Amino acid sequence: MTQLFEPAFLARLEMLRLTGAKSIRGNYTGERSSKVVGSSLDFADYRPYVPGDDIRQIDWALYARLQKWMLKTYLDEREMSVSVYLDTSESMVEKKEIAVQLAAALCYTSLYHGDRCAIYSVTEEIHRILPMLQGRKKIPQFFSKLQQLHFAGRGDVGNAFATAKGLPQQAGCSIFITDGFFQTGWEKSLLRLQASHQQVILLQVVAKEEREPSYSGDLRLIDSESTEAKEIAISPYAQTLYRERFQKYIQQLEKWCLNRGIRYLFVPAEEAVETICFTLFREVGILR
Amino acid sequence: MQVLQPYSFLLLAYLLPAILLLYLLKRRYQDRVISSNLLWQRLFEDLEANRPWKKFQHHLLLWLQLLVAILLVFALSRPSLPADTIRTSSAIIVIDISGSMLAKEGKQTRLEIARQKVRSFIDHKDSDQQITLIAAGRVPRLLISQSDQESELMNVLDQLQPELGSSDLDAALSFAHALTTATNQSEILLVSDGASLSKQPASLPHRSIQIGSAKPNVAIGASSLEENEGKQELFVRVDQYGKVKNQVAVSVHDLQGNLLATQSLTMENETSQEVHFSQLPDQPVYQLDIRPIYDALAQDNRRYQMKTFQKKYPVHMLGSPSIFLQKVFSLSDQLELSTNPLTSNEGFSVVNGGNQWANQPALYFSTQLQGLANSKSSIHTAVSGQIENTTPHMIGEGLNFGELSVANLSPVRVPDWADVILQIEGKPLLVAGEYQGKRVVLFPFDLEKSDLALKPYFPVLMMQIAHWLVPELDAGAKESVPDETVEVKVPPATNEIQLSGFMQGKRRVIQGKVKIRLPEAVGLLKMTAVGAKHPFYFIRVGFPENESNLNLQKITTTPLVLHDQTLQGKQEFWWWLTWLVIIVVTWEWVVFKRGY
Repeated sequence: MTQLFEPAFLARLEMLRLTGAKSIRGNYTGERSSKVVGSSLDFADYRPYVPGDDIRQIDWALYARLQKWMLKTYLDEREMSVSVYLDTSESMVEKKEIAVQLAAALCYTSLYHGDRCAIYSVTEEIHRILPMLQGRKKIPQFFSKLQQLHFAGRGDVGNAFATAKGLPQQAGCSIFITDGFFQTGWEKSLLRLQASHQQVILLQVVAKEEREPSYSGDLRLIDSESTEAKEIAISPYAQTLYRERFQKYIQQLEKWCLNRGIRYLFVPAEEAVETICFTLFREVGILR
Repeated sequence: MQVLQPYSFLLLAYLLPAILLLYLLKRRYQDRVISSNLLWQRLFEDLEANRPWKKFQHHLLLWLQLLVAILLVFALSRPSLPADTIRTSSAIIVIDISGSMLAKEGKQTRLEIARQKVRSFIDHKDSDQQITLIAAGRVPRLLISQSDQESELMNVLDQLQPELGSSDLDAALSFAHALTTATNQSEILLVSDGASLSKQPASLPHRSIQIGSAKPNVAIGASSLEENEGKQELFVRVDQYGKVKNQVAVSVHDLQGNLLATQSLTMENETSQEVHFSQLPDQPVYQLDIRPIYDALAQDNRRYQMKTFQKKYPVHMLGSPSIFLQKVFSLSDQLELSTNPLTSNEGFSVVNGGNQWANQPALYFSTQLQGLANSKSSIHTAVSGQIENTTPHMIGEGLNFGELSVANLSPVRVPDWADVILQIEGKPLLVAGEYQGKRVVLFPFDLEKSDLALKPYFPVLMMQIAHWLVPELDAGAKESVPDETVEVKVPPATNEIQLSGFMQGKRRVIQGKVKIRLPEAVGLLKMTAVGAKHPFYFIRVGFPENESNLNLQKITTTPLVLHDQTLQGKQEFWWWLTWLVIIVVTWEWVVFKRGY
């Protein structure tokens, strides 16, 4: 655990918890407010008494005023299922440290607050690293698995989410940590996640060299995943065009996510994990 | 601008496509693995960057290489600009050093500008090109002949001084043409202002470099002095050259610098005005000055006017009257025959016969003059023969005596203070010398008993004797020009004279005369006998009137047919292009090392 984070960082992280935009519909009792009527102290509504109901729940004060038997209902408290999808393709090698740290931080805060958590690695397919687990005791296991992740291979988001194999079985929150250089099919993949009753959060981690390339001259640019080469004469003018093109790409992605209720966050890879967790995540409401 | 080898541009037709082709076919790419080339690919598609011409659009290295190729080809074509360079392997430069070249053009004189022009020719000449320099002054002067040494040429040029006179451009150009026959082909360049050119020279230069521009100038053209009832009246003519309205102050000073009179003039275009100063106090010399508002030449703004009217000196005729002597001495305006004894040392006596000495300088025709007649041998002899000029003396100067017949030549005992000037058959015929401050000339025979008075040179001989006896006849003033040698007779008993004015120093008197070589200057030279208070002679050196006209005239040239077309008086600048190529190549290298 100490290899990933300092204890002080974890102590600060414990004060935050993952938020969802709408009420959770978990299967198990937990610490998180749910839409399901249950046994918490949070008042939900009144309903008429029907035979078989527990008469202890009848609101006798209301009976005294209305001469009707009415039952008080309370919201139930459920746990949330958090699925962390980590892009482990070759293109993430440069950013794997921050990607792992972010995944670990999100798993930590989920498990600490009683949510269930699972980890998936995404390349051309989705591999489940850890199944849905709950409890703080599982945190070291999560950290260990995340640190052992091997970043290699070609990424194909469209293909990976094409089958139900990689989709969460329970409603909850899915966090996809990726560099966002999707060739095709990424829109469908994200929509599929949403369709699986998931609150989707897209964290796009991009290195500085990817945003503002410093290389120039006559270059054969080789894609790290596909090994596809592109010969190009990179001039300062071309660099400027690239930067503009990158900004445009980011804006399009963000707009698309916003239109579909997906929370999006652009994460510079060189940024410190503390800044990301305690500033960026809180600004967009991923952690509170 | 011209190019000497225009066919070099054909290289561009090969070079530029070749470079472009090499860029298309032989581009060397460096491999670089990036996380994703997704965006680059999309950028490519946006720009259509895979098309060849789009690839070149922002390729700095390519453009630099194309620039280098263009510059190299341009350099190979030997581009040149018209320049002040000599066009042949040997050139003759004639530099006008006349007085008008002293006119100011801004802060420089025309001669200084001419020097700069010639320096430019010397600077730009090739190492094997030879230059001959000729100074066109009053007489043409060869300064240096066929030198390819820049330092030598520069030294000669630096030592070049103006002459305060008119230049003989015709003679200088003829001289230059004469020199060209010695060489294969020489270009003759004339560096002159073309001012005061009365007519085009007969020998024309191949190229004329005209110095300066038309400038207004005011000069004292002439002056004269007249005596009117004991007072002096001065007339001054002021000439203006150039189209400008000018204000001129004219002033008269004495030699001590005291202002005697002044007047102001307003002068219109190209006019002359006369100024009259009357009632001036009597002075031997008057200094005239003008101060115009617009004036390019200062040397013609001062003039000295000397008293030139003649004083008459008495000639006391003693002894037997001689019609020959009376007639001879009455010919001169400066001499006045007198029968009265002389009261002062002015003038001289003519003693015809007798043995008595006169109290003044005298000319004697006597066989018995005391102290000179040889008492031991009083036999007069008749001689006839060739006159021999024994001692060079101003009395006999310039005369061709020939034969003479004398019936009664008396033997003479020549004293130490006298010289035998002429002799016949070894016997003294004319003795002259200075005795007790008086000059004495003796002919030891009777004029009537010889045929001397019948000789053609007799009047001249008598006048030369009169001028030697009374040097004051020559005293007064003389006008001269710079760099001329003048000869001045000095008063008796004067061994040395003091010079003052534009020339300083002392001169020894030789045989009653001094010879002075005037310097290249204008002004007044005063000559004073050492020990005397006042000058006895003035020499005025004036600025030549025609040099005051600074209006330029175009000098016709004759074309020079060049055998070698590569020397066209143009300055090639291919080496500058070469430097530019080196700079661009360095830049290209920096770009290459930087990666782009």
